[in-house]
Amino acid sequence: MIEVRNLQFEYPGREFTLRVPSFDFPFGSTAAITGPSGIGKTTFLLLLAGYLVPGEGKVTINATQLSEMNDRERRAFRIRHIGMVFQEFELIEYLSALDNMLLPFRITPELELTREVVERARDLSGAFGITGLMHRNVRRLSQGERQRVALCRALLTKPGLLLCDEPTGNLDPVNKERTLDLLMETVQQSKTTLVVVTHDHLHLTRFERVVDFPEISQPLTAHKEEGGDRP
Amino acid sequence: MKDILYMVGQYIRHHRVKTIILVLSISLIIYLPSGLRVVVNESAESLISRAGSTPLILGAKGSPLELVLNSLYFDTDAPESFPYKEYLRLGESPEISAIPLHTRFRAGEFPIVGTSMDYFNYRNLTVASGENLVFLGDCVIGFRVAERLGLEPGDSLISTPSSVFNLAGAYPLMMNVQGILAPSGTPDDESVFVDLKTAWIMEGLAHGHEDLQQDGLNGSVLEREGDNIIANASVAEYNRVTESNMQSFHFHGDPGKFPITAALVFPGNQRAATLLEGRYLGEEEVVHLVDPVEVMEELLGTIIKIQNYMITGIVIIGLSTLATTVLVFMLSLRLRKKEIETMHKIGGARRRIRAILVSEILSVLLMGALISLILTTLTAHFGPAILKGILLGGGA
Amino acid sequence: MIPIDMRHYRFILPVLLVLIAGCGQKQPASETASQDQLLSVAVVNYPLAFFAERIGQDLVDILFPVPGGTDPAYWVPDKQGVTAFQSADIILLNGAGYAEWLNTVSLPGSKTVNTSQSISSRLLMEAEGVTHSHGLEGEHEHGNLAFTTWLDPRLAIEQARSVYEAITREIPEREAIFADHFHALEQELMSMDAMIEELVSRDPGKTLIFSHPVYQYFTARYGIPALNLHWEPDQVWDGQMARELEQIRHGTDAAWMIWEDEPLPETVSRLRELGVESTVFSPCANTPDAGDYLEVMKQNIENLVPVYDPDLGTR
Repeated sequence: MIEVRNLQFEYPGREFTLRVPSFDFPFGSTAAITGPSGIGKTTFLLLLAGYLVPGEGKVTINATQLSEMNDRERRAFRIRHIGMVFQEFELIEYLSALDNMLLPFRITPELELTREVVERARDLSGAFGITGLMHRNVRRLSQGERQRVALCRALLTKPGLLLCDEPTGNLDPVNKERTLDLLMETVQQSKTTLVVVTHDHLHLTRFERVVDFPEISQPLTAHKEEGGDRP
Repeated sequence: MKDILYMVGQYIRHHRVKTIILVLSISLIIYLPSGLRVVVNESAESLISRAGSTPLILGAKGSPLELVLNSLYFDTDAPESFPYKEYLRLGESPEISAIPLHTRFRAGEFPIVGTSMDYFNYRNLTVASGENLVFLGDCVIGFRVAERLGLEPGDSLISTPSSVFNLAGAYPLMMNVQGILAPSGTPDDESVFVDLKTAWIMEGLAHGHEDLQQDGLNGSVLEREGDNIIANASVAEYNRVTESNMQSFHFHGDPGKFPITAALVFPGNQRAATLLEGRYLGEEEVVHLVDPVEVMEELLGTIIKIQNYMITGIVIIGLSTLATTVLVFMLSLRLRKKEIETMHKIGGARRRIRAILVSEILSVLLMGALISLILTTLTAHFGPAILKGILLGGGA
Repeated sequence: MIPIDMRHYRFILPVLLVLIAGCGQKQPASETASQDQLLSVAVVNYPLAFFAERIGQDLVDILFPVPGGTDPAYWVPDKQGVTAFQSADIILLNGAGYAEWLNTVSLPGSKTVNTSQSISSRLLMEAEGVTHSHGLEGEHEHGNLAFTTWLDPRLAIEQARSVYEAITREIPEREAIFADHFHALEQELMSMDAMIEELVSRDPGKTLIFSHPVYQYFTARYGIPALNLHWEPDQVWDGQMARELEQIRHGTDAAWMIWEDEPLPETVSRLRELGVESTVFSPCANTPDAGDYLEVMKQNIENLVPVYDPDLGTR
């Protein structure tokens, strides 16, 4: 269960405040969060991930209160239990597709990079149809291929919660469809809770719940979103 | 640790050019002053030690530096020569011993040193193969001379005329290679040693030819003046000393006037040295005594001053290079901001992420330091020889 | 053999006494030196060998490789000979250009001692000898000095002194012994000098003919007018010799020929027919067949007695 109570967040030095009085979401289901740009959807996602810390209120993920944790504990929790996919993919340019997938295992002592993990990465690549591209540098991949690498990276740690910020925003319609199919298939199989911020109204029916963000939030002021909020 | 090194390795591999430039810059910043210091110190030590084993050098009045460099290293232009009788004068005192030197000639690129056998004892030179000097026309060569010219005992080596415009004066002599010296790690390895009298043959002051008194050589006689026979130019002179013609070799003129370029002087005690120095203070003297250590220290003092200026300059440039390097690292970090943010976002440990970034910087610094260490070691090995070559300039 | 008048013994006896006393003065070394402590002394002629032996005695090992019968001044060593000289502790040179082979070999300067360095101002040039030069402006071949310096006992003393100083420099702890030996030798040489001076004074200014021009220092020392030929003792008499003798004697009353060695009997009688008597004065440059340097000089003095004191008997 994801629980948010009396959440309030402000970016320092900016005229933007996000308020979410209450939000609940059961684990194991899929949700899409929609709304106009600049109202704080990405910020909300980052607060759910524990990357941003609310000024007030609490965020609880499966009985774990992120807002009570310190930075190190939040990172550890995030990398073990939360997978993240970004609109810009945010792959490391000097690594190969495989190395990008294995990135979480290299940047924390919480996860151990074993042979079994590498095998799992190959399996995921196979499921996403990018086995042959594993050793290629990500700069030489297409948009669709890059997004699939990003998905593999997020899923490789077997997270309980997958947070995606406009995962198909930069894809063409064909890849968009394909990516969504893969995403849904995977979360269904692994019973991963999925929360997706999206502008894409065409595919909202695929989600079990659609949340209109203005309905759950009360921003005091808004600012224009440009490619997602940044802390 | 291996994950950090892996990430650093991948980053460096992807940014090869930038890394190479940074590594080279850092290695140069470290190497230039240290290499310079090493080469100057090693050279100074070797120059001073060779000078230190020679208490005094007698030479024609002129540049003490030229005299000392030529007398110790042979490979510079020979100084003005002075009469052999000045060397004989030294022998008048039983407390003074001396070794004459004549360095006006070369055999190709190698200096020919006319001297006495005492030189070999003085420099602890031993003959590794063959024998030491025995007869007129013999030579003993340093092992590098033998190596480069492919010579062995029993072979011949010809001297180079000092001037193509004076072939009648100083004519080439075919020397008999008697022996090859054991390596000494000194300029002696690159020199050809002959008896002083052999050097005088090259000067044209001694030669061998058929006996003008014998019948059949009347065509070579220009005229007779009392007991003196004046020969004409048709007299064929030997250009090589052999067993059969050796006894015909003779000197013309007073040997006391024959030239030498230096005398290494060894006073038996301080009193003898002081008296000797006093002897040459007069303006009428054509020679002077120099202390080679003093001269070399002066030269090295100048070099060290130059070295210090250069190091100061290098340090200043180094600091600016360092500042530029720091700027490059800072810009690099800024360019990696997105990458760093991603790692934070997906939950990377702060310490681990920092370690990856710092390790990249440390790797570049370490590689730079390693390269500078290798360069400094190579400089310590080869640098002194190169510096000596620059200082001595090579003789004509 | 030239017969000797028994009356000569009147003069000879004091000479003998001095010389025998001198010969008996071979000082025993304070200890017998072992072979490897011996100072190796290489010499270019016999007189220097004698001086070195008398002064150094048991502490020196003399190297004088010139074969008997060969004039050391013109001997040419082979490679082995030269390297033997190079290996010696001291190399004693006569100086005055003696031994031309020295110009063609390499010897360590620190070991060589020119025994006539201290008397260089008293050296004499050869009056005769052919030189050459190249071209009208060329330098003459280096002029020849007369080199039989040891035939003047006073110069011989100075050469012996150089030998003494050289040996003492090598073994300074034995200076006192070497000094004793040298002074004893000096005394003998001075006695010899006095004897000759006294003998020559009996007929001062008497012109003598010398078979070879090698007595310059002897004749200069004692003021003996000399006529020089170039005759070998074993040279067979011929008309050329008679003409040369006549030419050289012309206008003089020279009646004695001084030979380096025993001449042929026929030469002696031919000379006698021409009014010239013969006697031997050996320069003793090489090791004598019998006796030593002083004994040879003793014999030389004996041989001069009839020249200067005819009253002691005619031949």
